[in-house]
Amino acid sequence: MNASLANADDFHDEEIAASVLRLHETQQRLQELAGGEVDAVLLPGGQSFLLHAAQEKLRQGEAIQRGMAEMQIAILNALPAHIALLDAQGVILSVNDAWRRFATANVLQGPEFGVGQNYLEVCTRAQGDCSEEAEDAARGIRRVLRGEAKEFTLEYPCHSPADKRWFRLMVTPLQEGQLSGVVVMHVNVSERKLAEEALRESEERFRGTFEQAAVGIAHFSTEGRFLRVNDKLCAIFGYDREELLELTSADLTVPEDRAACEEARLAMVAGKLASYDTEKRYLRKSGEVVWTHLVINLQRAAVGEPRYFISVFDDITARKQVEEALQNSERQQRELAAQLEAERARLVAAQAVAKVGSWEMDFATSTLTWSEETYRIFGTTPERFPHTHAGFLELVHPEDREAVDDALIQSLSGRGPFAIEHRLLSPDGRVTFVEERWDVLSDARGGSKRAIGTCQDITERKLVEERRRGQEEAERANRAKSEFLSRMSHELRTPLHAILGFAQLLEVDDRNDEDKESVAQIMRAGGHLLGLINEVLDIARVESGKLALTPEPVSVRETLEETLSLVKVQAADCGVRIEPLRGDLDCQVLANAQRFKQVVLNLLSNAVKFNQQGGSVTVACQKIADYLRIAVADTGRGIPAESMGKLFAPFERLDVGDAAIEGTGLGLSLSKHLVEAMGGRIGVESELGKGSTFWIELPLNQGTRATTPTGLIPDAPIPSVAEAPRSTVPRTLLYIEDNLSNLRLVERILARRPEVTLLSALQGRLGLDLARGHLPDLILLDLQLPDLRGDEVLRQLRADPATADIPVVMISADATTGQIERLRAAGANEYLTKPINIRSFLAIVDAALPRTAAPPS
Amino acid sequence: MSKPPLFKFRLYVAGDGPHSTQARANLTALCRELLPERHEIEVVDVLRDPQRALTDGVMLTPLLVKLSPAPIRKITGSLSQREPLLQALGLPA
Repeated sequence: MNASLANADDFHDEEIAASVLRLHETQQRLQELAGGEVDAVLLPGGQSFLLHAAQEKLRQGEAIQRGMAEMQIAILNALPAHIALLDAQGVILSVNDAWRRFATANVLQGPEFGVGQNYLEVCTRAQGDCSEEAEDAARGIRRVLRGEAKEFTLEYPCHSPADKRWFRLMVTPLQEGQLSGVVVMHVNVSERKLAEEALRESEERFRGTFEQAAVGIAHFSTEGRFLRVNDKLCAIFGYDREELLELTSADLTVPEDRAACEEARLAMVAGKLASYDTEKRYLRKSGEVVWTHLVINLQRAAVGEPRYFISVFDDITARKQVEEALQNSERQQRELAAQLEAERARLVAAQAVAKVGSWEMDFATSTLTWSEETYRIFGTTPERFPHTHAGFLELVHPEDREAVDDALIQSLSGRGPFAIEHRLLSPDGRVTFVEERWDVLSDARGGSKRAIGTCQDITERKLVEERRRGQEEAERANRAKSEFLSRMSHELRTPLHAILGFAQLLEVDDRNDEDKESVAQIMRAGGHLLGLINEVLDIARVESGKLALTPEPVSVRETLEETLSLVKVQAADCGVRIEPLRGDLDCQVLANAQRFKQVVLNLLSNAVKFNQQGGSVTVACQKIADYLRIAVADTGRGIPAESMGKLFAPFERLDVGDAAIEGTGLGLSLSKHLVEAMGGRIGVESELGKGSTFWIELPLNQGTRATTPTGLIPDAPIPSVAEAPRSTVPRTLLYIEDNLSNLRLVERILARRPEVTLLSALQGRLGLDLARGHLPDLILLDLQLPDLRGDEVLRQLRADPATADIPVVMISADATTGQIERLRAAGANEYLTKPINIRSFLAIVDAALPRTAAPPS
Repeated sequence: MSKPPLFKFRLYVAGDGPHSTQARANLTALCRELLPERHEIEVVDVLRDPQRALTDGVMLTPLLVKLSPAPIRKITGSLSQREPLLQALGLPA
């Protein structure tokens, strides 16, 4: 061919061109004949002609097929599996790269990597560890080759010295239905095998851990049912495994804990609680409580769906019991401490109230321990105080230190008195009185001692004692003063009675004017002196409590009118107008009539005395609740506020710059005493330049008691001397009196009654003898006699039938209303006060002696 | 009613020639549509098995031979025209 082509040159060209043209025409014609849809034409002689388009297509298809085959081989080579193709007899036809690599390292060595060898024979020849598996493999391959099995797989270990390896042998027929061979494939499954191995080991480990654990472990369903439990858990709960698996967690839970557990379970399922770690009680099968430390975790599937709870229970019952015991003991200690604290607080409070501090001295350490109150009493603080005996002595009053120290030292040797009162002197000079009491205690060995004591602040008591002593002293002095005044008044009054008595005689007798004036002066001065003495006596009596004023209903209008009439002359002398009485006059007050009048008179007299020319005095009465206020208002100068306090003090005459005004300076003081003794009050209101208003308030008489007449001797009308009817019948009068000047005075007075014979006795007994011997018509009896008291003489007179009917007139310088009553009850007919008023005396004598002559007995 | 007849076809093709490929596809589609479960198709590649073509007297490919039911029919072409094909095979339109 090559030669012919080389020699073809031009002479064939035309022929070639014509042939090609014919070929194209023929092809065209064939296409037309075959209807345009034909790829090839076949002749019965065996010739065939593939049309141009089909030829092109075929060429393309072959190229694609070649490419695909190459790709398939590349894929096979890329696979990690070792792949070999065996023919029907088991001879290796082809292998992939992985097979070749493996063969290089392993058994099927040789230039062709086993291609051409019979694989079945290779397997049958195999020796060593894997010989059994190799024979199994050969048997399997044969079965597939014979069509007895559609496939065969076998996993076998094939460990190299370096690695543990497993392979999976897969045998598949090469072409279904035709026994033309098999594909043998070895896949390395070491990784999976190792993973499985690891998993198995892990599971074994887990199982071992689960079963051998020293704690109880359980898996619960999400509903709380036990899924798996270990032996330890069975032991903790006291149930068999089978029993336990029938139960739920709630069955074992103490009823009061169930709600909380249910809540925790739901929270975990809902994902709100990651894990649950608590200490929880469970009920054992026996009913005992077992305490566990419980940790629960929720196991979830990969997608997060809850699967089951893993719970670990640690039996902590023993620990709990210890804890509980500890807690109980701690609580007891706390309670004890609280009690102690409360006790201490009570003690502190009690000490503060009683002002009693306590202390303790430890002689071994020379330490002094004080209570709070002790610090307060000593006026120091725990910070400042050195807590030593010396420090204590520093605070003791310097004058008492030695005594206190001595007492303490003495007590150490067991000698009393274990108590001392002493003073403390604080740095600021304050003195505190304390009373210390203590006891000395020995310890068990009788060795070092300590002292426990109390220290009471007795300053208050001391002050009260001092005050009471002062008061007692003052009262004693006051009583002594009153007594002195009383005695002196008596001594003064006796001669005064004589002066006034004889002055009266002079006054009665007719004298010239000069003499009368002298007598009047004597009488006035004597009267003033007598008033002074009487008031001093009254005050002394009131202050000594000897003045008993029995209250009785007294008519206010009568008393006031009477007293007003007494000051009328004085008022007129001073140029002072007395205004008419005003207010609630028609009522009664409860008072002593005589003293009431005395007080009103004093106020009225003051109002007149301390008034001014042309001034006025107003008396007004006003009921205030149960009291009647009687106010006496003047139009004087008024009293300065600073002097008000002194108004009612004895002997205080306000320095009003008018020394000429008469007065004892005792009037207001006595009035105050008297009003208060009658259960009333006295007071004053004053305005400088306008006048003063003195008032008294006395209790109103609410009852209907009859009024006591204000007169001292009501049944004794006092006739004037001149009017007295004269009797000429001889009479005998006995005067029992120890005072000679009084005797002389009566003697002189009776000289004006010549028909009266006067007998006198200086002693009571003599008086009684005379009375019995002479049976006089009238007996005058003094109360104070040297041998017998006047009332005793009276009693004996009345006791003797001979003298029982003789009228007796008692005479005394000062007799209280009560005394007068008693004397009247004892048989006295009349009562006369000293100094004797001649007119009153004569009136009584005349009244007592029968006016007409009586037949001599 | 008697069991519907089984259609047996033999298709002669020239490898993967364009018309042959089309004819194979058209025939398969038609059978699946109209004769499901009751057809058999034998494909004979005349390029691979020229002797068979000679034996069967095939002149042009692609050629479809309906072997049964009788009568035997031969159709040349890519089988792309549906109406004439159905007529030729005795199938309802």
